[in-house]
Amino acid sequence: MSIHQYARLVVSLLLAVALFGCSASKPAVQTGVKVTNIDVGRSVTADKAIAEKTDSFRSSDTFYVSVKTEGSGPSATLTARWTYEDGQVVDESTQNIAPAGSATATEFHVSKPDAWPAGGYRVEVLLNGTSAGTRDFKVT
Amino acid sequence: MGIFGDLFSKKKKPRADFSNVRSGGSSTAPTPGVGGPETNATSVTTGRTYVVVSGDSLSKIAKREYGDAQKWPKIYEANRNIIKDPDLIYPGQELRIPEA
Repeated sequence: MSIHQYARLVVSLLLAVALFGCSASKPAVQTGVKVTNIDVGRSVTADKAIAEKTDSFRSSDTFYVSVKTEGSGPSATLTARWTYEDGQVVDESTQNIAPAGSATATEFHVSKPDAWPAGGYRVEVLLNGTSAGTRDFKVT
Repeated sequence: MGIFGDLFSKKKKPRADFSNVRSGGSSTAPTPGVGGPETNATSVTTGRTYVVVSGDSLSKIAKREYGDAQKWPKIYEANRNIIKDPDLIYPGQELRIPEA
């Protein structure tokens, strides 16, 4: 085997390893759904958009997050993870949706009967387990 | 005790109690395996919504939302299309909460 043939073989092997290695690490299910917007506020409209955007809530408010998605897929999982100050989990909710192409909106909400403690909060939205964005807000 | 005594004597901030947090959600997208878009219980275009949980009553919701249990008729009137008897609401019902 000449030096050129040997080099070609090594390059081919490296390429094959790189290609198969990458494809193996990709998620098994790929959908064409993407998150295009995340809003938080005190209320939602009938089409699940935030009616009253804010990042400053009262202790008696219900927190809403509206997640807009585009694209289609047989199944996509949206998760809203609400946390308080140093990361203490307040709530985590998941919805399975099957968007059919046009823009869709999904809302999550949390309430607390005996009032929210004052401080900083964060909601993280995950699409199929991968973070799609966060929004920070506070209760005064 | 010195510096270590000071470090260990500092009280940690108590963690907040979120055990009674209620959550819910809805979407305009259909759910997997179910055709067609989501159907809304009301035709109202604006307003806060609240999902009824076990143990709720209109007066309890009014007390929580408005700080006044006597304002329950406001919620009842806004949800007459889904509440037939103000003494009977059911877990999972999504009520519109009008502004106070």
